[in-house]
Amino acid sequence: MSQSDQDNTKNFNEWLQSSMQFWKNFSAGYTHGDQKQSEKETFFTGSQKTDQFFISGFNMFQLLMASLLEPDNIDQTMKKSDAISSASIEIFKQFTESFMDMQKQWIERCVRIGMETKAYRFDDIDKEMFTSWKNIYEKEYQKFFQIPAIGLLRYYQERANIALDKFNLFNESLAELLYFLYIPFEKSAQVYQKEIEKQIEQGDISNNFKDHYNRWMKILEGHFMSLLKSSEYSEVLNNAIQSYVQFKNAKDAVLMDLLQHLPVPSQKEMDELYKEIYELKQTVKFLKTKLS
Amino acid sequence: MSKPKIDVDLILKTVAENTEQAKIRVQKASEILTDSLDLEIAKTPYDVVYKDDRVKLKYYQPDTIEYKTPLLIVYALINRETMLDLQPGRSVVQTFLDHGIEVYMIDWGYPTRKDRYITINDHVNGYIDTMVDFIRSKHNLPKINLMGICMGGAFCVMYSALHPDKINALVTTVTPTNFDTDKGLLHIWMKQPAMIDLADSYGNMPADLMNLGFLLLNPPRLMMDKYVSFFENMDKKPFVENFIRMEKWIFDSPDIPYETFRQFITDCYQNNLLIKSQMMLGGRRVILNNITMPIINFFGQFDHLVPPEAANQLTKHVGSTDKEDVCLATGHIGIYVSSKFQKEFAPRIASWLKKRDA
Repeated sequence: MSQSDQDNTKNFNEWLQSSMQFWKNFSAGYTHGDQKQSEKETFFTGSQKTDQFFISGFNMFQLLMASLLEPDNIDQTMKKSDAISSASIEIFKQFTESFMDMQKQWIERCVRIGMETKAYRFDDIDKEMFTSWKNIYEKEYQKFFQIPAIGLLRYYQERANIALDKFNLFNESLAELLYFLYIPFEKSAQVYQKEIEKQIEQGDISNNFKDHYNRWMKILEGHFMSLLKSSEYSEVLNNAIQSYVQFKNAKDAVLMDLLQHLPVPSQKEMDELYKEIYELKQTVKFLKTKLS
Repeated sequence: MSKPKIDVDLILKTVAENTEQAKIRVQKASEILTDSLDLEIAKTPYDVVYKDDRVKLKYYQPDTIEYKTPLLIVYALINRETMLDLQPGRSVVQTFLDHGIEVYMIDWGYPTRKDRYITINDHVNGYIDTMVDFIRSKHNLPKINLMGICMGGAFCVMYSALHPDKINALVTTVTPTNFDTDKGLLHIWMKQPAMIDLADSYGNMPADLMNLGFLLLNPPRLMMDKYVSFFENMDKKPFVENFIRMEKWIFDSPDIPYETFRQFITDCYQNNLLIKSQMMLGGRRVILNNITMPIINFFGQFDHLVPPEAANQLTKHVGSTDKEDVCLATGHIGIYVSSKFQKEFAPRIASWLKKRDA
């Protein structure tokens, strides 16, 4: 063991011992103060429950601390703490690398924006940025939301995880849709900039702001019409709506879990009731017509 | 000295003038916006003569009745029927009353989640049929006149095909019947499956999302230029009043019952069953050839919601011999509310109905 490791072990040992002493004194004072009170009580009250829970927890803590203070265990503990910190660094590294990779692609896209796509054309939009983002999310992060939940609350946990996952996917689709809606502005600016350059060259540029606004608006409208009719936009719009619906449904499921503890009927129950009323009304109308 | 390519002095002078004008305009607009404004819409008096669930039947009585056959107007489920009576001078209803027509109009109300199971059949063979029977009974007439607006027009087409014995003359306006076209953006977008899932998730199709969709049909004009125009004219009281009345109408929009929306999208937009006479309602086939009464079909040349291609096929498929298509050089809403078409639209319908008044 190196000098540094020995120092660490010594410090950790001292910290454990002082912690043990603190909690021992605290516990003694706490239980002593309540002793008379508990003697008077014949029933197992909430206060006694809390005391017993605390004492039990403290004993567990003492045992754990004592175990850690064993000379062999101190080394192991120090090694484990190293392992935890290594794992943290590894996770952080993975996160940073993914983020840097994504950012690099964004920067590359930003440089290329306006250089590759043609005016009034929307079939050549590079969607690589969003595909990469989605791939990175699905490869690196989505799996955390898909870890199987266990225990009594597993279904609640699972629904919460799904809601978070769908929220992230919705944000990705929304970003893509917003990007598509931004493109006509970018293209219109380019087209009009060229027109202005030409007007300046010819010396017949208008001094009236309204003329410029009207012309720019017409160009913008033309670009939007081309975009909105394109199959690419329809696909992106459909994806955005689908992902929003999936997120909303997942979020509603979580809300239903929370609401079931309140004295209010759920939407599912109300829908069932509405359907029954609807069918009954249909029957009544049919019978009424038949009778008349 | 040669003339500069950019006259910076002149530009700065113009900017200074524009700034001064904008300042004066804002001051005047402030006075107008804080003053009392006449923003009320649908002011023509009426009585509610029948009610079925949330659906009401409005009755507008003319000063002098000049027509034997009353007219029932069926509005779309999108937006409100108040558009036909937006303001004095721009009211289709008032024009009909001035001609002496007794007008009935269906107010669909505001569907809630409990209405999500209501089908097209419930609208056509339920509400419309009940109200047609009520009017026939009240006036002791075998047939009445029927006029439909947009989706309400499609309902009227379905109704007239299933109950031709109850309709004297049919007026369809900006009515989509042929959905096999990619001219209108709605016809492209509604073919996507996501729309139905969206309505299902909310219970009904939310009006706000529908309105957002309509704004996205032309974002530069409807979300930017329109308000730039408002800013430029907000020192003119009549402009402000007209503009805000229109805003009130546009954004006063009920949700669409889920089942009706789903069926309209799948049967009409996605499978185009209506024009092919393959649509089924309440177990009965809607055969367009059964429409034998006189029919006049209006549509807008510049309609971006129901383009001419979606509306002009109807008269080719009906069984009527007395049929007419009228294409007006305007858009989807302009046909009813623009001052120009106040003289060309409603008076023409009144005149057409007069010739066919039994």
